[in-house]
Amino acid sequence: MSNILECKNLRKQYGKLVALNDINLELPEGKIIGLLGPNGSGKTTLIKLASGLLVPSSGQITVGGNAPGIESKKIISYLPERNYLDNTMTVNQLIGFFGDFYPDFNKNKAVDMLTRLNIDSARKLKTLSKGTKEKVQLIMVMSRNAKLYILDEPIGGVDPAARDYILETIISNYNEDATILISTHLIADIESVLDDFVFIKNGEIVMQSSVDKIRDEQGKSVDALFREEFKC
Amino acid sequence: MLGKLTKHEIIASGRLLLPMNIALIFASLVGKFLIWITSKKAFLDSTPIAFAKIVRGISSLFTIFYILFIFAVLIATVLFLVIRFYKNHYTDEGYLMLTLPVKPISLILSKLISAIVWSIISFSVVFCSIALILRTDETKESFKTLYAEFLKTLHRMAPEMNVSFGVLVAEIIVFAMILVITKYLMYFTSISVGHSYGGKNAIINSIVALIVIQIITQIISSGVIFGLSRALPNHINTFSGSGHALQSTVIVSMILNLLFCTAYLLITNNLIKTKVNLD
Repeated sequence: MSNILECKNLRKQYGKLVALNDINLELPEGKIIGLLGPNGSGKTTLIKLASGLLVPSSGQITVGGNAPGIESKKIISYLPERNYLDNTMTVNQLIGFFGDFYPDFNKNKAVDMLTRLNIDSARKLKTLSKGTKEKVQLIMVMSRNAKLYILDEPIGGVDPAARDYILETIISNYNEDATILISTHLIADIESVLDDFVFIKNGEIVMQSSVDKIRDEQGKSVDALFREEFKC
Repeated sequence: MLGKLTKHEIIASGRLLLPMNIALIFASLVGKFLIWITSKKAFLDSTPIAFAKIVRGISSLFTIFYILFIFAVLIATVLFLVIRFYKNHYTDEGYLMLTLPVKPISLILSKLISAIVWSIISFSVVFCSIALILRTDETKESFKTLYAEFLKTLHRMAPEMNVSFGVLVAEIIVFAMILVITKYLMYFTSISVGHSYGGKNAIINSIVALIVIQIITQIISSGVIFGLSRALPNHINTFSGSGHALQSTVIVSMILNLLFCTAYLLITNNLIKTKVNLD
């Protein structure tokens, strides 16, 4: 099995603050991987580096064998932790936008998911509630047939019902050969869907393992292990 | 991808700028109607005095509103297009735009092309609107004379500048376009510099960057013009006051502005590529 994402001695620093320090990481294809760590641990910095939103201070990061750039962006479907949509657009215009820039975008899938949620595609995004906009954004991201889905805090700040919908949407819509990297600190909610996990603390990878291995060998859930590892 | 980006950019900008321009056309028609009705002295005299006063009052108020509206359209067009560049790349929308599989230069060029297109549309609408308001039976002849004088001046200038009439007209249009492009790219660069090195004071730093860039370009322009005036023979240097001198000033200004544009593009492209750090 080849790797979809690789980091070699990856370092990112903002002035004197080291956000990521000497990260060596390999994420295989076809897995759902949790990127787990407390706030400020470097999760979002790592994700931004993979998405091409930041440039490393030193070291390397590759996605699908390419350094962040046009080729890597073609195969990444990225859901940031905030709303990135142009509110003046209608949902239909947004579908057209994604269709124009991502050849792997499945318009029918997006329309189908929107219809099931009773979201009127003719409506402007600014007329939708915050929760509905988050769902529209998730639908756009999951309607792509990408090789790497990067989801930054997809279930943070939403009610339990919405949380279930989001996880259901992620699990039932991703391309099975693809990798999903989910960043969160709400481990209990996503543990059941994870294959592997990566613990990140103070900008360093402290553990990478499969969920089953931890359960079999240590008899613990990832959530319990996380609480031990990151005990205040 | 540049074509697709430009298409979406023009449409997105049009969501505000198109209704604004349509509103200006509508305002011009209302203004024209008010001018027409207030010019009908016999009609107003035949109506009750209060009605005539109201019509004249509305007409006066509308004139003030119309002038303000004209300025608002011109300022809002530039401001809106510059703010769109900022919003699209340096706020939350950047998470979408900067992760599209396109080159940063394409993002900048699409914004620039859209800015040129909408500037041409807005300025044309403003020009037509003013012409519509000012053109009456009484002013028709004056307009014709003005236009004829303008053409005559160009015909006189062309041989003095050692170019044909057509080349002179083309030169004026190209020069105007280069100036518009230079201005927009300067705003884009200022925003990028302000954001890249501004931290939480990105907007203030963008304004500071704009002032600094303007001072630097003024110094460079003055230096080049002064240097050439010393280096070139008198009959073509910029201070000799001849048509040749005007032509050499225009050409030098065009080349200088094109060099500034290239520098702005390279700087903005590099900053978007390497220095963006969205909150």
